Amino acid sequence: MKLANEYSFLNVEYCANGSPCHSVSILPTLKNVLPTWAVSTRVSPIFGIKGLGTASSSTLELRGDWFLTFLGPIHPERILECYQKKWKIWLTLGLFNLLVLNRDNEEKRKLLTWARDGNIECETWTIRNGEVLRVHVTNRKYKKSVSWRREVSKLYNARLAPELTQAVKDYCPVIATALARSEKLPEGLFSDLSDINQFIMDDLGNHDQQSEEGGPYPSLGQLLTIHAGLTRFTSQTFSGTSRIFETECHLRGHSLLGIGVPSIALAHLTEFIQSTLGAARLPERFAALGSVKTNVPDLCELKIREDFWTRDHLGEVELSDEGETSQVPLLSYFSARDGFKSTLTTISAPLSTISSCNSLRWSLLTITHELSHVLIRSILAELYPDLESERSISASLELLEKGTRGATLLEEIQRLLLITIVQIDNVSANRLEPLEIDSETIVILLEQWYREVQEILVHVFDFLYFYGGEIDKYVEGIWVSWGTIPNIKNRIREYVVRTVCTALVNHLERANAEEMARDQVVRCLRRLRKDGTGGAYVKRALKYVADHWEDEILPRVVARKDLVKIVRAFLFSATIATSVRKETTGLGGGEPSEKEGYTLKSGSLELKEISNPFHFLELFTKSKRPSAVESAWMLYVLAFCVNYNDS
Amino acid sequence: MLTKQQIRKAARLESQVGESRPGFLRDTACALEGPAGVHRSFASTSSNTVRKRVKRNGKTVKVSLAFEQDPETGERRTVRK
Repeated sequence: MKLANEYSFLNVEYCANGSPCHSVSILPTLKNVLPTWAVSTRVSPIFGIKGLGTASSSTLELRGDWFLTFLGPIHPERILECYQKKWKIWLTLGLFNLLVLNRDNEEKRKLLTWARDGNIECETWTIRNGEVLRVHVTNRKYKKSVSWRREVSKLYNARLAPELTQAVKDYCPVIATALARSEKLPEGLFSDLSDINQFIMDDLGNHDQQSEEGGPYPSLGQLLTIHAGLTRFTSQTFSGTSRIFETECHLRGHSLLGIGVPSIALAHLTEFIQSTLGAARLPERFAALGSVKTNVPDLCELKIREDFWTRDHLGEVELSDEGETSQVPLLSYFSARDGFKSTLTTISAPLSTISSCNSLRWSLLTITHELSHVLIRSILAELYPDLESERSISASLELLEKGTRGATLLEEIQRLLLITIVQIDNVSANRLEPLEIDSETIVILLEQWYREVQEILVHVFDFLYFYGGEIDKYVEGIWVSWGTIPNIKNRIREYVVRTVCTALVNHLERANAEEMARDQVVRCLRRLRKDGTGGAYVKRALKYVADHWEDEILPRVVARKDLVKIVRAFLFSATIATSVRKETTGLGGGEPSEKEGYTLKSGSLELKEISNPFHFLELFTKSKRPSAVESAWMLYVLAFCVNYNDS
Repeated sequence: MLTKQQIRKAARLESQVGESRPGFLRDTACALEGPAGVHRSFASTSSNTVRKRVKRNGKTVKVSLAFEQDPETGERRTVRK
C-alpha cells in the first residue's frame, strides 16, 4: 500500500437549508471552504492511496447515494482483506484512521461484517446528494471497567485542602473522559492513563496536605501539570471518534477527526524509552552509588586516563526489587506553544511535527533531549543537597573543605559537582581570588547554576545514549532544530559552549581535547552553513567561535569539563545504551545490525514491525523540506508498526 | 518514567531552585558580588567588584580554584589551590 503524493480535506457542516442534516464533501484544498466557512464547519486532511481510487486529489461532491465508513484504529493494509474494486480509500490522522467510500449496499454490508468480525470500531454515514441521512455505529467489544469509575468518584468526593478541591473537581471529568474513551481502544493508552490517575490519587491521598511543608501546593502543581497535558491529549486524541458529529477537536485543521494517529505515534516513542532506559532504573542505580564505600578515589585529583573513569559503574550496580519499582508513565501530547518540553510527568512535541516531522528541522528525534531531562532531573535530586535543610547544606559545605573526601562514591560525585559549580561561577565572574562560601552563598550558587548544570548533563547524556556518540548527527540535530526557534540569538553563546562540551566527551583522554572538540563542532557547523540547513544562528555560532574561543569559550568549557566526565563515568552505561540503540527486528526480515537500515520504503505501508522507533526516525528523517504526506507516513509507521515488546 | 517517590523528590528540588525565566538574572556573579541587579553579560570581562550582597552566615569555607594543564597528558582541569 503506497501513499499518494497528494492529500485532500473531508469537509462537514450543517446544511445551509436549516435542516439538522450535515453536508459532506471532499475537497482538494481548503481554499474554496474558507470564504464560506460556517460556525459548524469542520475539516480534516485525508491522504490518498495509490491504486485505491484516491491517488489524485479532486473535488467529490458525493451526488447520488453513497456510504462513507470510518474505521480504526487499524493498520491500513488490513483493509485489503476485504477490499473491493471501485471502493475509494483514504487514510486519516484520526483514531478512525481509514475512510472507505462505496455505493453498493451489499459491499457496505460486507465491509461492516468484516469490521465486526475483526472487532474494529466503525461509523457509517449514509449519504444522498452530499447530505448525511443516517449514521450507523458498530461498536468495538471491550470490557467495561467498574474500578476506575469507582476510584474517580471517590477522588471527586475526597476531603481535601480547599485549593485542591476545585482542581480535583476539574480534573475528574477530564480523566474520566480519557479513561472511558481509551478503554475501548485495542491496547496501551488505557493502562498508561490508569497509572497516571493512580499517581494523582496516591499523591493526593497518601499524605497530609496541610501539615506538609509547602501545604497543598506541590500536589496542586502536579495535578495542574497533568490536568493541562490531559486536556490537550484527550481533545487531540479522542476527537473524531463515535459519534463523530459530537466529538469536535479544537485544532481547527483537524476539527473533524482529531489527531489520534500522531498521538499514538508519540506515545510509542515515549513508551519505548520507558521500556528501555526507564526499565534500567538509572536514578535508582545512581543513588546506589551511595553504598559504594571502598576504593573510592579522589575524583577531583584522579587523572582522566585512570581506568576508574571508564568503568561501567551503573552497569555494576545490582538492583534489588524491594521498595517502589513501578513507574508513572509520561503523558505525551502536542502543543504549538510548548513545543518540545518536558515536566516530571508530561512531555510535549510541537504541533508542527504532525505535518513536518519528515524534515530535519522538525525531527521527532529531538524528543530524546526532553526525555533525557526527565531522567537527569531525578538524578540531580540525588546529587543536590536539600536546600531547605541546614544539615544537608552543612554537609555540602564540609565537602568543600580542603582535604575533605566523600565517604561514598556518590558523595565524591557530589563534591566534584560542588567544586565544578564554583569554578563555573568563577569563570562567569572572571573571579581569580578565592571565593568564601557559607550556607547562604552555597544555596545561591546551587540555585543559579542548576539549569546550566542540568543542560550540560542532558546534552552529553542525550548524545551518548541516543546518538551513539556520533557528533555529526548530533550537531546537525540540535542546531537545525534550534533554527526553528525565533528570538534566541542571545542564547547562541551558551549553545556553543554546550555543543563543545558535548563533543568533548569523545576526546576526554586526549591532549588538547577542547580544541579537538571545537574543531569537530566547527566542521559540522560549516557543513550546515554550506548546506543552507542551519539558518542564521549557525553563522553567528561560527563567528563566535572564531572571535572568542580563547577568552570566553575555552575557560567555560574547561570549567564544565567535570560535568562531562560525570555523565560518561557515572550516568552512562554501555550495556544499558545497547538496549536503547539496538535494532533486533528487520523490516525486510532477517536480523540487521545496529548500523543497517530497514528495507522499508518511504510512503509504503506494510504489515511489518520495527522494534526501535528511534532507529527508524534516524534513518528516515532526512528531508530538508517538510512534507505532510511523508510525515503522515512516518507517523503511521510509528503508530502501527512498532513492536518493542518482542525485542 | 520515574517512580512516585522520584517525582516527589525531583519536584521538591525544582521548587527549591526555582525555574529560570527568560529575561531574569541567571548569572550568579551578580547575586554573589555587587552591584546588585547589574547584569554581568556573558562576554563581560570586568570583575573587580567584591562587595558582598549576601549576608555571611555561620561557617565559611574558602575555595580557591585554578585551571591546570597536566604536563604529561595535556589534560586541562580544575584544581584546588
